[in-house]
Amino acid sequence: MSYALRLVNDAVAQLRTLDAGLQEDVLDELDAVAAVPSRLRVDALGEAVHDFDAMSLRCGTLFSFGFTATT
Amino acid sequence: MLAAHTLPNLPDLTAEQAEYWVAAALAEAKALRQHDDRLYPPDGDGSGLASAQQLRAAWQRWADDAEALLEQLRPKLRLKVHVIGALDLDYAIGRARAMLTLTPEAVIFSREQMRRGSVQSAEEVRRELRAAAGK
Repeated sequence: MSYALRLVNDAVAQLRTLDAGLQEDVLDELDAVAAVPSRLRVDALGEAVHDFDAMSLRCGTLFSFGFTATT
Repeated sequence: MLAAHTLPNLPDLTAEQAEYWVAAALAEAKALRQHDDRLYPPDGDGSGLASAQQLRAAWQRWADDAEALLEQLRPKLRLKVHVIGALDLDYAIGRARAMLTLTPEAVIFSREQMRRGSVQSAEEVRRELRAAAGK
């Protein structure tokens, strides 16, 4: 089973604040999780928080953030 | 909460002593993570939101204390002294700070957007972002 990915407007607005490379990394990760949702630990409310770390090569900074997905 | 910042002369910690404090901070973060499922209540009513706010306050205190500890270790780390767990602590602080930027209210608002159908497909978003970046 896999999920179709939809982003709320807030999520899109936050994506816009990232550098272009990191935007692609985040969308790739979201696609990967949607394709294999067993990677998510879903809680009793049917939601999951997924950690994703990515190194932005452009600015050499380690980003660490999570996103919440309603399954 | 970490007692480390209440002790005098912690900058003189040995690497071994520091490792115990780092391990304590990491253990506390692990304990806090057991309550992750209470961070984002289903709605803004009832006790769920108050409980989430208390948990966030605990994470905020933890992050501040852990960061203070890490700052005390910086001189050692700059001298390439190996302190077991220091990198893990740095990561855990980053994760906590990132989580704290996502408020329960914002998640509740996002759920409302989903209910209203104010959403875009990933492909639409990708196209829009690429266009904005001039790709």
